[in-house]
Amino acid sequence: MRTKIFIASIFLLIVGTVFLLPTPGSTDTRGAAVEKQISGNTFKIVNGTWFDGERWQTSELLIENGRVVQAFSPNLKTITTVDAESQFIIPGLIDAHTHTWGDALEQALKFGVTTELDMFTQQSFAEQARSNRQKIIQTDIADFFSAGTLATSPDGHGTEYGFDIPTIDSPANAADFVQARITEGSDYIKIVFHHKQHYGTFSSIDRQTLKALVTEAHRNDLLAVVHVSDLKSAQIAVEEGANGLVHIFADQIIDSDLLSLMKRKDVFVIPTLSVIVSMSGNNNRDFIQSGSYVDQHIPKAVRLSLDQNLEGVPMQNDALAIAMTNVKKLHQAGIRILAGTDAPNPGTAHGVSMHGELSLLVKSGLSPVDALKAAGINVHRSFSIGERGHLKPGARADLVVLDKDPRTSIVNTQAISRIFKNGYQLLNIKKVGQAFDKYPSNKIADFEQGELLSFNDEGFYATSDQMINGNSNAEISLSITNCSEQKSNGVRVQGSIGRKFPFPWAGAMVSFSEDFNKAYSFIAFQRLKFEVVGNEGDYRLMIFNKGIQRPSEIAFRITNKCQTVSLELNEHANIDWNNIVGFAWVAGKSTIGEFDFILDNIELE
Amino acid sequence: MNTQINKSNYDAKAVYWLESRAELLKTFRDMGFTIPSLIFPAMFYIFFGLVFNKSAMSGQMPSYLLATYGVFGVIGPALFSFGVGVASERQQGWLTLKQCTPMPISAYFFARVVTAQVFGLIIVFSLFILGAVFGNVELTRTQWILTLLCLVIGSLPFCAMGLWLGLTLSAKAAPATVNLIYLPMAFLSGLWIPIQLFPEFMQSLAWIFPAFHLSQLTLAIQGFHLKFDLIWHLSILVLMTVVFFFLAFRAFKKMSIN
Repeated sequence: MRTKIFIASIFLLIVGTVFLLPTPGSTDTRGAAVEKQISGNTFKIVNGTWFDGERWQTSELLIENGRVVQAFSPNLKTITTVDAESQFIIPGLIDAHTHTWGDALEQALKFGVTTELDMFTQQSFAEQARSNRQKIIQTDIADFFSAGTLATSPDGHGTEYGFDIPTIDSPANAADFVQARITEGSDYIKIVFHHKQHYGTFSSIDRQTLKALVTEAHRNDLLAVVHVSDLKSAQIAVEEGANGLVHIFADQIIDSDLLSLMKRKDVFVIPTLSVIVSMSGNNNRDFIQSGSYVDQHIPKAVRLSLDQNLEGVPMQNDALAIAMTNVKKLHQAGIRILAGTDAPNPGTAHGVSMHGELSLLVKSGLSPVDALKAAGINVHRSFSIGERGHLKPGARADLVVLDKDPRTSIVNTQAISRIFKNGYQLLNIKKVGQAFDKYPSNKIADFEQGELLSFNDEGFYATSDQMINGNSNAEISLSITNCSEQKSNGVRVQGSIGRKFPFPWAGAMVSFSEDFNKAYSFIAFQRLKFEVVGNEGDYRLMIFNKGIQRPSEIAFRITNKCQTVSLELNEHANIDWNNIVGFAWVAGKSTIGEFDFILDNIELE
Repeated sequence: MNTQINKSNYDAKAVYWLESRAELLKTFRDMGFTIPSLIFPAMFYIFFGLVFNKSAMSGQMPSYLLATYGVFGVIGPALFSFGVGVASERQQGWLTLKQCTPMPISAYFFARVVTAQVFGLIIVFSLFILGAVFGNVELTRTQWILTLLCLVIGSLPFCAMGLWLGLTLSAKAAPATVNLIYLPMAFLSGLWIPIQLFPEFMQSLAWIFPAFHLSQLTLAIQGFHLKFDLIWHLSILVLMTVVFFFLAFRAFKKMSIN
């Protein structure tokens, strides 16, 4: 008897433990038949309304081994069923104009962008990211195609980002240039062109070089797409055989001659209205539907970055209106429009901004379904990107399940229920508030070791606008300060501010990793303090957030007397203190000319 | 203790139960065996699944490794209890003594199977709890139960393999030999590091190990397997079990004749 009780209680213990083990949250109210998490990439979606890229279907959507199929293979035994009652399935969105590095592809996928077409990034990143797209495997990043290095003149647009790239200045070099891109693996050739050889601070290749590049690209069966910013340059690019324009111009309304030429030559356009919004000084945040999936998953720093604009680039006030009119005219003329964001330029972000771009396209006069085509089948028809951008048999099972009908309003693309990449459901998507580790020390640096290092062994170095073609400069060195009674080491920052770049800066910087990917949270600290003394003037502390190109700023003043600057972090709620990758102490526009200051005892409280 | 065994009518159930209980008690009291076999799988899982790779595979690494370290965990006691245990008891003459008693010798082997599975059960549960509490592992109830059953039943081929080793190896050679099989097989079958990360030829090589097939079956419950038809893994595993039992049977007969 005792042994029976013993065995029975062991058995109960086992059963009890099994029932206590965690199961996926059952927030779904559509009944027990619904599989909330699909493992594996073979399943069928029933009861849903789905967009195959051209037409809406209500039949079952069959996915086998990560591809859409007409019918399952006969030897399949168990097939998971996903109930998509009153849900809508669209092909994974394709962003046809991005600049991709770091964790961009992860950010993109999180918001339903399953493929990015990069228009210029560093070769090292492109090479590695491209290799992932072949296999149909479980992944948490979007697929990646890239132009690799763009074709621009030695002082052209594209050379201002702080790393050296090969450039081209004569038609004679076009063959070699294109060949080098092919060797690097470029999927298409992107060319920067302006009809004036010098405009703003930039130069441009000439028309003959443009023509030679386009010819060479075509001879090698590659598309040639051209960056233009005005009508006249667009006209030339089209005449010389460009397959597509990667921005819409916003200087003038398109004329009927160019429209019919583009139609005849089957040229497509990636308007990138998102970046035109920020270039014309508008904010890009209004498209976010409160309470939607996008709203719930967008990190604070990204949300704040959507408010930034590219005010450094002079643009007419009505630029956005002109751009949108041009998009409307192109669309009415039957010219293919492709959705692209130009993320991560100020005011745009990977993934998130795609939903904004779709809204902008609809505002320009596309129907919601046409906007979906712009992010899908139109890209499929324009670029050679395999079976992506539609859901006909043979397509990759990259799809987004929506809770609301995108046909009635394009903002419903933000009501994401699930995302599938290669037929695998994207799981464990983090909501907002994902915390990085707390900065491991409450002193950042006091330089007493005689090295330009933080307590966390991060190096201090000089930074200036030279990396984007400015002419400010800075040098940093160890120096003695007399601020306290004992002499102590500090970092001396000397340099000058030039006028070449409209928003100049130069100063000292510390970042937590070389690639700007290591972020720490500072939310647990109340204030950031540092000692400064030097040439009188207004200076700024720049705060760099992970994944955001442009830093936030806090102004402070330096005098020729030692003083401690103390910044209350919670007074700067517009800065995301949760994911900081670095700080810089810089002089700027208000101190044109020489500057010289000493920085010491950077502490947190 | 053995009132039942003295009953005039022979009670087979009681014999199996008592032998199993005795075997279990004996094994548990052997701390040199109990502690490593219970701690190692959990420790490895903590290191590789929860501390270092927790966020790999979009945070699914703990869930993936739960299956593979589960396999690692259950095959350990099976191989050692049989391989090393039987070898030493054979050499000490204890097995011969058992054969002389009225107890059917199958009870002796049954007791060892039970012991291996009880150990397996404890290891699997410790991994389940670690994964659930520290690795955010969430499986459907069916997946939890299937994983448990698959692992516990899946230890049988390794019992057979261990039995064969235990009946053929000398007591001295057994521990070293079993370790020499256990650890490389665990690694090469992808129990420590996901097999997907192996070069192609090593992935093909894994097909010779029963541990690989059991891990594929267990991983399939969560959809993490290499996507070969499961019937292959299952039949190979069954075939290997039959072969090992046959080899063990032959060794046992040979031993009895000598």
